[in-house]
Amino acid sequence: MDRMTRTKSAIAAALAAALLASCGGGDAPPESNDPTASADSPAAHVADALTLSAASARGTFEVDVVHAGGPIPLNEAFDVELFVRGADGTPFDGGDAIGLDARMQAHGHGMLRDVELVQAAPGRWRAEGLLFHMVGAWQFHVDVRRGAYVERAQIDYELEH
Amino acid sequence: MAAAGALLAAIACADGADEDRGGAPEDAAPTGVLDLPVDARLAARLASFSPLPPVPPDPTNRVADDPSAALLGQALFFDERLSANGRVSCATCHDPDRGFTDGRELAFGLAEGRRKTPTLWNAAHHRWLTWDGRADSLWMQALDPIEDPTEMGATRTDVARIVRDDEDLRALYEASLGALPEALPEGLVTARPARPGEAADAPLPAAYASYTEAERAAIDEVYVGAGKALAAYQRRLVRGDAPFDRFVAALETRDPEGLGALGGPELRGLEIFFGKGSCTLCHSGPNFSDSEFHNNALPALDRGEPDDAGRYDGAAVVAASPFNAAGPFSDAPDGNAARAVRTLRQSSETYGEFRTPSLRNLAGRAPFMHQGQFEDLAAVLEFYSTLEGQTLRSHHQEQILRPVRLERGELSDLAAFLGSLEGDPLDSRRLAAPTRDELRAAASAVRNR
Repeated sequence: MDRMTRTKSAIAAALAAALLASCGGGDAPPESNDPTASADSPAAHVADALTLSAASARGTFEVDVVHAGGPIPLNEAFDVELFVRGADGTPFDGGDAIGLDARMQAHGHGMLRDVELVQAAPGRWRAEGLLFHMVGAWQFHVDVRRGAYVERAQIDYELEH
Repeated sequence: MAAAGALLAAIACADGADEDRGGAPEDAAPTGVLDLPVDARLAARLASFSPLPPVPPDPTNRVADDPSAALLGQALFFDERLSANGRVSCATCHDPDRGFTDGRELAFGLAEGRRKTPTLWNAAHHRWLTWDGRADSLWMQALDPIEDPTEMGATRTDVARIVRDDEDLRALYEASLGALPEALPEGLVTARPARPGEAADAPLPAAYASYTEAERAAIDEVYVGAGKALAAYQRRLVRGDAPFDRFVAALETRDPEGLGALGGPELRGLEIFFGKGSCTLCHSGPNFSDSEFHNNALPALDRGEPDDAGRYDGAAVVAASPFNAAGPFSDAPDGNAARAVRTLRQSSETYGEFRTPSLRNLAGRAPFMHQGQFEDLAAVLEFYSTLEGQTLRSHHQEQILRPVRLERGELSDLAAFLGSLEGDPLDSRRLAAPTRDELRAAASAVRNR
């Protein structure tokens, strides 16, 4: 399946390039137009990784959501790594509980499955089992709970055709 | 052909069209018949819808692609002995001559069900089965209708007895799934576990409880084996290679015959489908389905208040079933499908959601939707165009649809495009019960291996 997807992507890319070239165009489409994408993420060494970053609502922590495979695939399960730092840049302890979710606010729905978070190191978690089944505007939510309080960092991501 | 050539030219030159209308490549057919605003980006999108790839592997079913299992499954699929009255088979509702549906609004096996019979064409491409996704594999889906009193009303002991006592079926079973379990009771009376809402001391559950734990495990093993064989057969009910696929392939090769696979109406319909119709929001990917669940505010069949919980119910059923991908009968209880069912979300926002059907091979499948609410494709398209009659239950449900107000001709073109998704027919021998001679020959062959 992966090989099929890669093959089709290659065909599509080749077709698009050939067609654009035949008309004098040639600017390759940007891999990501997300303004929050950062090259300074903890996974910047991973070629083609997509890193989405945001600060939490009250500025207590910052998050990087890193997808090693680049752009989020449509309707395929994927995993991400979640990095959480305190305001001083040190690994965040995650409070009493930490969660990651994603929703399509304009559609009024989210993912149809829960995300499993497994801590890999201080301030670092692996989030497994995400799936974006539709194109459009998605929003990652990273929630940290301390006692009765929840603080959220949210990151917009546009899943394109 | 001229229309296809024009589309190709439009694809090739959309970037420079404003500056130079004469910029078509020399090998493109004449332009000007259609002026479709299709660019290279759409060409790349089309490539993500075609071709239909091979069915994905099913590690939860070790005989998913075993020919002996598939033949056994084909025999069982058409076998009316698997019903309480001896007159209903899987093919009664999943009629190959009706797109593996039955032409009815609500399915009718032994009694009327509550939903439309879903097609089996390309079912192996779905990650969740049935309208509410209450099964996460073809083999799990195949099991429940056999015991459902409104469908076939048989039992797992009936299945085990038929497979054991029919020497040809038994040979195919043992060739693919292995020897029948030693603990399978000699005397197999009609028995099964209690159905939801049924008392544990009702006759059939009581009879099932009378077997030892080892005997029940053996019965279940054969029952599941039959389900896996049925799945192996259904994995072969796949039709791609439609005119749409030939057209998309020709965009790369520029093969004139392939480019001619779609005419003017189909191409105009394609533009709507991938454009203002926004059909690809849900009908995405090579099977033209995201294989997930949506509440499109469809009117109920009786035009009353919709009361079918859909995915909300289905998610709970599949998560609790011993036959899911993470369960003891799965051949890959730690695989990706198992992870998917373990993390299924039990959310009230899934109330009233139903799985996106594939749009490939629509012929013969009317009426449409989960209750057969729409008598034909035109009625479906009319609804999505206007949303007249929609039933908004609450502010919690999905908010995807907007009326796109298509003109008559546009609706007709869209229907023409959907017609171009009709794949090449399968060998008719795959669409009927194998003859006894065929079974005997196959059984003899596996015995002599």
